[in-house]
Amino acid sequence: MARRKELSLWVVVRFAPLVSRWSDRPEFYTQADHETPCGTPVASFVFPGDAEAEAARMHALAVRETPIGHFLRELLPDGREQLLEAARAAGLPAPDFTSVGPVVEPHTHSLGYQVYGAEQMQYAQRLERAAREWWDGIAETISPDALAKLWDVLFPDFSFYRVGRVLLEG
Amino acid sequence: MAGTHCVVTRANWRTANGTFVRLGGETRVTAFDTFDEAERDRASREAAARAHVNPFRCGTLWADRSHMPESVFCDFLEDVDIVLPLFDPIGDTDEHGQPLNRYTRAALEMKPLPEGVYRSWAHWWDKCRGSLAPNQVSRVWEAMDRVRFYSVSERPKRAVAYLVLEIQWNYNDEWNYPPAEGGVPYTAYRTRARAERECARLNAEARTRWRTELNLPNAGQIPEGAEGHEVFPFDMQSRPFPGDDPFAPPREPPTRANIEGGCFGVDEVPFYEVQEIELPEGK
Repeated sequence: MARRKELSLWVVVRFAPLVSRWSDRPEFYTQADHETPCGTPVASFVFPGDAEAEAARMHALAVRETPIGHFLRELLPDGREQLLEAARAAGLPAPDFTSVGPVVEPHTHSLGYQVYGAEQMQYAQRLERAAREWWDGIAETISPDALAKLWDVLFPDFSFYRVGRVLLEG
Repeated sequence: MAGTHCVVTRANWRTANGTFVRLGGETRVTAFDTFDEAERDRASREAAARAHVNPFRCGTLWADRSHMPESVFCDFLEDVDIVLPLFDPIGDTDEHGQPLNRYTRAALEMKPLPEGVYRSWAHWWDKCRGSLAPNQVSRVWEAMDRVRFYSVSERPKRAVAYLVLEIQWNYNDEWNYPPAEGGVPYTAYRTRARAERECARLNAEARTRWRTELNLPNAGQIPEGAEGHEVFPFDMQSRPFPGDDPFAPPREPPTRANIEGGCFGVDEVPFYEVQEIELPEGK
């Protein structure tokens, strides 16, 4: 019996960010629940190097136009300093955290684990609000370069595009 | 246009908690030999999307929607005799300065307002869209010039393949949910018919596997007293069914006799789907 001929195809896949279901605002997470390239295939190539280059090119375009403000919640409350550093690196005004107050750390239980109560929750909410106000204040005028810099500093390991190999039945 | 064709693409609008947000990139929808055919298709898809989407729920800032400042937008509406609404918005904080939680916000939004007063432009559109004349509706969309869902571009003509994607369902401790779009590319085929056959075979296999693993009943054999989420554990709120308009509201699960709650059943949701993709030159 003749075997079907199969060829490899390298596919660039656009990642679909996860939506926070427990917020009343549009908020997304970059963390995927699985490691395999999962998303919408947008281009295909014969050679993996070409696919990787295209994925990098498309990611570079995406971070110049994707509003990072909808992704900041993922970084908070721990990423307070990171946000200041990113604003500095991108040459943007710093977020104003004066209304947030000092960092409210979780309590450590006598058994060693950390306990999060209403104080931590309210602190996180104040921080999220300050981050949102910061983004709303810069979103209209931010340059694509500065936006890309924010993505680079805040989500250095994330890519909107990944590459996967599939078989093309010939 | 020898060697090229006109591709209709969909902008990467993602819906999250009632708002559409435009992220980077686009998705190829279909292609035509001539620009006129492609433009007709684009216009038809754009109109279908506009029938479902509230333009004021696209983006979170005014500038996400229009290049016009809001005051200019108001003049623009008055030019076609739209009576400008008055607004009584809900703030972001309560009387103690604490951010409003979603439940408090929802309760405040339910409070009645005097006639002609709305919480926001989005609220106004929800309430008044149906009573606007076609030219007034067009005028609003004309002003919302950054809210566009489809476009046409001329590109080199390429052969296409049909990818079978595996939809990786996740579990949130109560029910299963799929990613918002796409899946893991599985195998590509030269013809849609071949891909659809393989997709159907894989879907059937997956349903058998899920039915066994979750101990799900066969269709029409729901045990008495079963919990809705136990027997209908597949939530499609965040993902359109294959072939559905991606801008339409999510499908609701069918009403079931003698059972409350739950989402969709194992026989009602996709585990694999087919997507068209352009092949590299010469393939």
